[in-house]
Amino acid sequence: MFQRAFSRGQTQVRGEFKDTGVGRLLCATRMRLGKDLQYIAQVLHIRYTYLVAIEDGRYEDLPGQAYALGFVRAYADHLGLDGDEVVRRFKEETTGLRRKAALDFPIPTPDSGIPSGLSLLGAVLLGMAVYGSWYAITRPTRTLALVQEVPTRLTAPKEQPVAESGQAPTEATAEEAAAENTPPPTGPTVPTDTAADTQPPEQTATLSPPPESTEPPDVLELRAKVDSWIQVRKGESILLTKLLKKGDTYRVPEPHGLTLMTANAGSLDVLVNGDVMAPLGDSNTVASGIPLEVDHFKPTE
Amino acid sequence: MFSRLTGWLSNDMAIDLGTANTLVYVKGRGIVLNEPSVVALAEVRGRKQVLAVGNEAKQMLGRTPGNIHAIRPLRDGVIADFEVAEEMIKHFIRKVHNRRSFASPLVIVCVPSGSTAVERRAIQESAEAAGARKVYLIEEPMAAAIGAGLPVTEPTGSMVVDIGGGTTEVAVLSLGGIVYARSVRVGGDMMDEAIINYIRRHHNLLVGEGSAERIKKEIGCACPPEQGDGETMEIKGRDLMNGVPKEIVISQRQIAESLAEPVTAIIDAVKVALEHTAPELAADIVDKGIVLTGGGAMLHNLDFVLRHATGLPVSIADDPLSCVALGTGKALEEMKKLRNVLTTMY
Repeated sequence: MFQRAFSRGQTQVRGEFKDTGVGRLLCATRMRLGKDLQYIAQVLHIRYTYLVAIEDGRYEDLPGQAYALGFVRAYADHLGLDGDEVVRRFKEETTGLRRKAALDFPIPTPDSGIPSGLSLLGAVLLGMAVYGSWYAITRPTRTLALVQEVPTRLTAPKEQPVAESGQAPTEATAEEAAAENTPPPTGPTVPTDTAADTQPPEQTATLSPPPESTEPPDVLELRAKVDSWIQVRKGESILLTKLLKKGDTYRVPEPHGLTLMTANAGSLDVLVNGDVMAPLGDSNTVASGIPLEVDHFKPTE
Repeated sequence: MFSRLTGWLSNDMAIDLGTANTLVYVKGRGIVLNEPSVVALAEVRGRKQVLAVGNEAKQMLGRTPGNIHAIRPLRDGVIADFEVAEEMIKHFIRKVHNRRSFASPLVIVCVPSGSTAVERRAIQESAEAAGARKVYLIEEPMAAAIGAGLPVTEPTGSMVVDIGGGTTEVAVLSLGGIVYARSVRVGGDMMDEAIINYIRRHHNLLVGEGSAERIKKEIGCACPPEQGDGETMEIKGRDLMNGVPKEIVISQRQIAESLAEPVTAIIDAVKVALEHTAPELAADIVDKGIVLTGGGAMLHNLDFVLRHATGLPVSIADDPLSCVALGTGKALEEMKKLRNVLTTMY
């Protein structure tokens, strides 16, 4: 490399000049022909700065290999040199410098949609960790809530109906349906001393039933001989609509004024305190508005 | 399943299916075949059979007896004869695979940017019928720009003019896509035709396509020489006045005159493309200029004429004849990266 000054037409250029074959060759030829670089730039429509870069050997300042080759070839041809040979030498010189056009196509960033597999896996693991923590924290609390100690005052009445009634599980379901309109069991089911503990003494005296009413009430039941559809109403409101399977028993709840409707009157046995009463009607006949009162049913003859 | 199995036995190929020449690039091997797009068919007992394809068939052009037809199955960059094109592609696939009959390669074929969906489908179906396992299409200007080494993916405008045998593709590319493309049905074939017409009009001599192409390659020039008539060449043909063979001498100046029309059409296409280019991209093109690719770019002084007509720097790509094939080959080699420049008709 050496410092050198030379004329490029009207412009005096001073700078570091690389010892490059092609650049020197072109520069020397141009100077020998006495041509102005500005004029050549004008004729070839190549930017003056690019021609200066070629002459100075600053090939990295050229726009790209494809364009640089074209510029060198055009410049060499213009000076009357063998374009192909000059290009060949230029290629040799720029072997190390050659920048290949990188083909990295722009990829749009996904704005929504399915997240990548890694982030999806991360989210699943995070979710599992959160659930595990929650489960571990809340587990003792829930166990305590489930095994609350039963108050002693509720223990005795709870046992009594089970022991006395001996109902099938299906009856319990039917009873639950009608439970909303059924008042809680009175005196006979609750021990006297417990009632005395919870009620004021004067109220106990007035509310306590007479001695004759302490007798257990009549139990009215419907038993299906075959599958039977029944509907129990109180006035206009429907209390129960159910399909009794063969052998199912429905215990009629306490409150009176209930009526029965069935699609097959002959399919039901009416039991009062366990005794079978006269049938409600013939088989496959619809019976409606049958009052569910013990007095209404007559025993079978 | 079967196609996948045969795929393992095949070499994936990129085909520059040109009007004049077909170049085949094989993955990992580069350009392995460059032959004229000509097929010679012989009629045997009423059935047409392929006699020769490529160089051999080209030598038969215009010299065939009654039962042999030398056909160029592509016209204006698209398939003109479906069955013959299929036979030609089949021949090239078999030649690349050393006549193995199992070959079922993945093929990328380039198509002119101005081709219609029907023309593209015809090219794809021809390749599939020839035995390709899967066919992708790539637009010629994109392939040419990639092959020429232009920075097509950068946010800067690049202009490429690909002058092929049947069409001239002018395109402005940026950010991995074609911003504007114009395809005119002017190319090497039209130049040959212009030379034939000129000689017939001015010398009453009828020359064949082969002779016209030879004249174009030897003394063809986009503009007349500054002084004198330039180089001269002896040409032979049939005298139209008395029907006897005749030989005349034609000059470079005359050929330049004959080529004025197709050259003007190319210049007009470039000017129209520049008019439709966005200002920012136009600024980039003023800076870097236009790159010429394709066989037409080798026409003497075409860069000079374009430079003066547009006022822009014009460069001829390194190895302009192979640019499209190299670009298509690059798309094959880096298929994952360049998938978005490939299309398929199904």
